[in-house]
Amino acid sequence: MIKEKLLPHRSYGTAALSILAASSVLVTMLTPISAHAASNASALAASSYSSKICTPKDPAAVAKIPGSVAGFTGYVSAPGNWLALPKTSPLTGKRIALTVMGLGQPFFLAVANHWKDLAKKYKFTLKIYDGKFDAGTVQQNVDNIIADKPDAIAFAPLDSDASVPQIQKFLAAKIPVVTYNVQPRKVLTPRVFANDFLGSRSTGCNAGAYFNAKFPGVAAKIGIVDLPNLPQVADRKNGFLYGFLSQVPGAVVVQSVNGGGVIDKALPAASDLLQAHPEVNVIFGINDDSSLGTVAALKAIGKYNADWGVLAAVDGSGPGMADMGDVNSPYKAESGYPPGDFAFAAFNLLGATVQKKTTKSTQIALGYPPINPSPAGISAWLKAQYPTK
Amino acid sequence: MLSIVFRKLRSWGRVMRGNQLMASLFILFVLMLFFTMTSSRFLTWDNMQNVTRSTSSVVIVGSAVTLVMIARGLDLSVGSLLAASGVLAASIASHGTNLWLSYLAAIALGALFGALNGTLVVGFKVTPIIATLGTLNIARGMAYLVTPSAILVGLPSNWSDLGTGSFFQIPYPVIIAVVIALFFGWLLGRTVFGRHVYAIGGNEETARLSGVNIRKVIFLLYLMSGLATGIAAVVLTSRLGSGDPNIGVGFEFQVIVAVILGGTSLAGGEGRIAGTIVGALIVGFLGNGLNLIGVEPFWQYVAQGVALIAAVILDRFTRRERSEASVRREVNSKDNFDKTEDPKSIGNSASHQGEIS
Repeated sequence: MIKEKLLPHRSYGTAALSILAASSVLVTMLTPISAHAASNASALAASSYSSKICTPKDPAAVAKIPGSVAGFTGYVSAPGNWLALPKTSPLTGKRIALTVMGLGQPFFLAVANHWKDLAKKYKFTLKIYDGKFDAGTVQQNVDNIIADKPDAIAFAPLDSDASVPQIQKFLAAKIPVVTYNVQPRKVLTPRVFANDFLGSRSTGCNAGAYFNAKFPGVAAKIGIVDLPNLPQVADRKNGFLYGFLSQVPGAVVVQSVNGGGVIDKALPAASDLLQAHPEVNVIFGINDDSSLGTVAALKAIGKYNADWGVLAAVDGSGPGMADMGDVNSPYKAESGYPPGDFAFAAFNLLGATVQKKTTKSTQIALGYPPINPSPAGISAWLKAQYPTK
Repeated sequence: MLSIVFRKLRSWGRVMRGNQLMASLFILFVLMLFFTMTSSRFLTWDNMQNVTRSTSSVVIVGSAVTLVMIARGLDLSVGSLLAASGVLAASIASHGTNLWLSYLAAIALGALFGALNGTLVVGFKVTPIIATLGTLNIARGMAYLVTPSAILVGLPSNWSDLGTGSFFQIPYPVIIAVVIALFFGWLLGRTVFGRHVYAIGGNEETARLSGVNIRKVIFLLYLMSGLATGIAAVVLTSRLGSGDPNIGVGFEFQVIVAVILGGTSLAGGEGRIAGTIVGALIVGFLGNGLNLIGVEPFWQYVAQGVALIAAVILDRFTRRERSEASVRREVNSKDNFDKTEDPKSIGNSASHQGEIS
């Protein structure tokens, strides 16, 4: 009724045309501004980026954040350059078994591809066993490997505790073994792992620095797309918070939701988070699937733009990087979980183990490098860690 | 006055106990009431769009699976098929092919797998659980083979339009889900084919002796389940904006839970599409509401488990109530028959029984 009074029938067409024309003018006027704002945001993200860990502006703001829980043996690496590839390898001519948690994930697919390249280069036979992220399949793989009796094994545990008897089985079969990625609960063999807390802390530092530069004076409200049953993920979350609150001491976590670590579950979880707390302007995804689910959720509610806030994650896989490279995206901070480094370090460690140059306590704690969000930075990261065939 | 209210309440309670759909609707209503009271963000248009958009894939596939389960079948392959069809569509679209062609390819792959399931169950007499477990693995493997670099991105800019767009504020996925649910509702409730589905679920041997072409009906049911999964794959992949072979893990259980919550009997022979929609909405609103009020993720698992068990108990309860009511009616009609021995009353009694069955 009110509308009818304000807008008589005969003027509907004229009014619609006027609104359309006004909208077109507005859109034309705003398009360069928003495009400029987006490229400006990308430039800000690149200029506020640092490869160094930040120190807390207010130590009280981070005092209650728990420290690392997954690093059972500390994070001191055995001396040596474990990432440099040697001219010759003790693995040449040998039969090597490599297990991966799941080839469906870009990280493990890249690890496997790096190992295939190493096998070609150093002329050893490689068999890859896919754990499919399933405890039963991993156990079956363990039995199959022992039956096959390879010369050495690079083993990716699915779980810190369940891996202990599996490694003991390898050792009982007298097969040299090193583990990579998830760290076994007991010290049984040499191992490669990453410092999830420190790696995510650098993501938090860069996300916080960008937030301060892009949204000065705005209160930061954090949402987390989580996977709340793994110690490594707890480290990622707490590391991010430590880094972000070091830069933005007044930031508040409003909610964590369970995104399941996969995109189709992260999407509804992130949608619920954004419904429950429309004020959220910072979201941390515990991996790229979580951040990509958030991207889809932001798109669905029309908030996907550089002016919405900051999206940050850890992983550094191709799909995540493709979104971070978009100038319109709020995805502006990421640390890379380096598949190339894991493959090279495990390869070198396995070689040393075959030569009996290691002890069960030998460990390599890898860095978790922050990725420069500029096109050159993203490209350099992908080229080194996710080379395309 | 008070006695009238009590009588009304009692008769309402009897209706609820005897009708699974009403009971499911009641659960949905209570859930919505609870979350409306505990979160100011729950009963908003935006949130209704959010939940209905999220549950649309479950409704699309659940509508088809309802028919399969009424006929005492089971389709466990839908989750993996969702991934395979989704990545196929994304893969084709990423090469610059017309979007509709990529959608058609996804639906065709769904139909192909549906036909394979149907052939295994009907032609080779493989039990549905084994047949669809096998195709579950084949479909997942195919999904990974289609996308060797794990997740497909760089899709055309209009790729997400179907999944995120809306018509008069109603999301496209919801419109598609409603159309498909209406189709299956019509097929089940208004056609001879639907009556055959109920007949097979009720008693396969009797249905066979009554002249129902059981093999044809069951084959078509699996074919339609695959087709619906292909459509859901297009909708979901469009919403996600990428082709990911890891999607759909556990999706088959979401669908089965929605179908059971909606009152479809695990023993076959009973069920309605409307119930499946309500079941999907219960699961959707429960997860959404728990997130909105900030319940910890581990408690959400507990709450969802309790909801499922409660629904199954309710199912048993209403089933017993219905069978008791049926026996009571039979006894009454028998008494009437004994008293009157009037041919008219025999006719009435028979028609009544027919209605019950």
